Amino acid sequence: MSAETRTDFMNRPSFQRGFDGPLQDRRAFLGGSAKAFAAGLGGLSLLKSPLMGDVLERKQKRVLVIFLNGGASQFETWDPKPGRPTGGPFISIPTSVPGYRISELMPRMAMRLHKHTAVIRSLDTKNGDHISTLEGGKPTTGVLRYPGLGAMIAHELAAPESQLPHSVVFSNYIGQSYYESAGFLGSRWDPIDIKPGTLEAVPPFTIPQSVLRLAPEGLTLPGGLTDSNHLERGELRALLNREFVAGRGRDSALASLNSSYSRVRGLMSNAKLFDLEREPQRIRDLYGPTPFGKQALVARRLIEAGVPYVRVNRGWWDTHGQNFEAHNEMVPELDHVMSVLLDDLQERGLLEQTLVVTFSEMGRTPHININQGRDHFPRTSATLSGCGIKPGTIYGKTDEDGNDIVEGRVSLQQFFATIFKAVGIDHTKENVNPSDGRPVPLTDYGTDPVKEVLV
Amino acid sequence: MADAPNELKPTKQVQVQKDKAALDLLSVARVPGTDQVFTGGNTGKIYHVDLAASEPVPVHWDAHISHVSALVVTPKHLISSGSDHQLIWWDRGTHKEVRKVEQPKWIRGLALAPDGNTLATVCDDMVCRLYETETGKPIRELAGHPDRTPFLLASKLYACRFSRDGKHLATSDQSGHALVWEVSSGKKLADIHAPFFYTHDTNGHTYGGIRSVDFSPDGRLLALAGNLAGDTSNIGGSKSMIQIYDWNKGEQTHDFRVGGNFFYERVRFHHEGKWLLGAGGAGSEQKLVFFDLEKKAMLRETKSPILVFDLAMSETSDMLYAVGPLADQRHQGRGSIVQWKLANL
Repeated sequence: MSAETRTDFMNRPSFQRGFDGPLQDRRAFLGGSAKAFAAGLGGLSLLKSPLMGDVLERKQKRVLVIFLNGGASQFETWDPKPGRPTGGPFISIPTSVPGYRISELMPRMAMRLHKHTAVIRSLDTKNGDHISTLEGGKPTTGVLRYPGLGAMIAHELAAPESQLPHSVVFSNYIGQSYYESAGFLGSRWDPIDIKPGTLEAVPPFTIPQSVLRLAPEGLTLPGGLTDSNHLERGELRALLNREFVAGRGRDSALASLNSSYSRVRGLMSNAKLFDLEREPQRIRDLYGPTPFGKQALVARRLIEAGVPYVRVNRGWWDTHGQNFEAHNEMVPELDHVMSVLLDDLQERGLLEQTLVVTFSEMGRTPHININQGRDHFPRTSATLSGCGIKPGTIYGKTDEDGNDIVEGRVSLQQFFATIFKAVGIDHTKENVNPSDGRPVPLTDYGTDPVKEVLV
Repeated sequence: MADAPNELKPTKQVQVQKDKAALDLLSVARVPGTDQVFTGGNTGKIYHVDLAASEPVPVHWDAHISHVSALVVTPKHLISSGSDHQLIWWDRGTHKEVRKVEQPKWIRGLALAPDGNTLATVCDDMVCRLYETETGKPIRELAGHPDRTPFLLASKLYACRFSRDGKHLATSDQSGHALVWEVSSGKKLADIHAPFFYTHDTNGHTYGGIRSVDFSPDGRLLALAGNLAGDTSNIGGSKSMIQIYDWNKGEQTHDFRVGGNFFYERVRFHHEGKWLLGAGGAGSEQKLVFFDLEKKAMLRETKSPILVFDLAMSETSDMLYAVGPLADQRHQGRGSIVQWKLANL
């Protein structure tokens, strides 16, 4: 794309249609042609700078995380050991990457691995419990609250004046989800967390039922309040704020408050992004009827619109009992949704700018307990697809029973550094913790990304 | 209904392989009229054990890639099914493979018609297939179970069982459907929906299902076994449940629920209907539970040294053979066969 000239892009159908054309064309243009666009605008010398070009390009990148909370089993997904005492019931199948086999529960991803995806079979989270791996495995120490993955990415990738949300998280439809705070980066970078509602238990179920929500609450105005009323109220509030601030110098709390109002208004103006009714039935059918499928489709709409970070949780994978029954149910759904999502992003020209990450806070034990369950295990597999990733790379190896990593151990910090690098973020960048002025790097000092999986 | 076994101490217990960690036994079949059993494990091996021997020495061979999910014995053959999609006929004497048939997914269960001529299989593709037992020739496919659970995820077809007269076959699935089929025509005669067998726990695990079925000796009643909602991820607070239906009328006649960390893997009627046995286990509880159908009450329950994953009964219901892992998780090579004498002592 970098070789494309101004004339070339003017000849493209999306340009000739103008920006009212199909969204996918517009996004493909915006994402893939950032450098070319900058280079083609001769009068804007600033944009001709390579540094500015890189910034523009980076700002088009997005990250979509499919988080398998509870700890999905690597044996029943990306690192099967059929025929071994630790292997469980499922057989393995060949993939489009010669010599690499995955669980039979993932036939669709098996056919697509060479196209978009790298697999890391050697992720060592050093975590054997349900703590939030999304915060890098780092506990709060003193006044230092580390930001989560989503906040760090949003902080680096979000366009400053964007009215879009920076970060959106779909909580698990049922059961636990992990919150990832923005830590010292400030609440402005906290995610919008879309949680399900609950209903009382209805027989035959004896526990409360979940109600799927695909949009934040409060996106619509209360009855009796029109959009123009709301805008006028906003203008009045802005006027009063300006007068209040005048003479008081710089006040970060007031600035944050104003920013929050602005974000709410921005969110309301983007309510359509959360509305699946606007999606063609054909596409809705592709993603399927499950809550996870629907959440993934909304996530794609948000990514398409330019939201820098979206996380969809699918759980709960904590299978101390009946591990194989649970994975037999959930892995095929993961296979379906993940493959449809990647295909859809590719067809819309978004996958070059979007990194899709799939991982868990931990893996599951090789040992199968008497309840046909697998317990907590700090070593697991993960995948990276799309932006910045060398497709078809199978990185790392475990021993024949999956007891330990024998090649290419990857720490959680390395995994994060790899994510950052893939979307053009300098993982060595330091942010300053305002409480004590301490510089804090995005990943620990001395951390290297896994270059083998990167283009 | 006073003939329930009044003393239930195992008469024999055999650990088939003591040097292998995480070996579970998942399936068992008995050679009629003997104390010989075949049992299959999670490492793909089948073990042949003569429990009449004073010191039984299991003989084993590699049969499947992974789980040996079910076994049946015919006059000539042992037939095994696996999670590796394979249905295999073995020469009973030489343990050599005679025939192999592949199905699309995990084959969960087998049933042999009382006359021995028809073999039924149930597979995770939700199809029950009938074969001529000795030739392996397909007879027909029985499809009719919903392939999706109420949560719209892939369902499983767990169990099948012939009536004593061989005229009917019952199949059961994860979402709480038990279908009754006319064997001669393949016609579906009844669809019993027992929704309480389908559950999810507080963290969204949506499994459960009717794990086992059996017809009463007169063929009128159909017993369904599994569990009721609980935290199945940790097998905590999971109630075991047996429901019995007059399948022709579609009416429920019995509902037995037992608390604790427990659910049923198998249900069997006494050959004359004197009692009903539910067996299974989970977590710290594993037991055999006997029910009086006339009084609609539990007769007795007894602790088992193993979690019962499968069982076989003698023709006169006086001997019980069960397989599963020893409940004590510290054991290596925990897969064990346990024999009980059920008659009054």
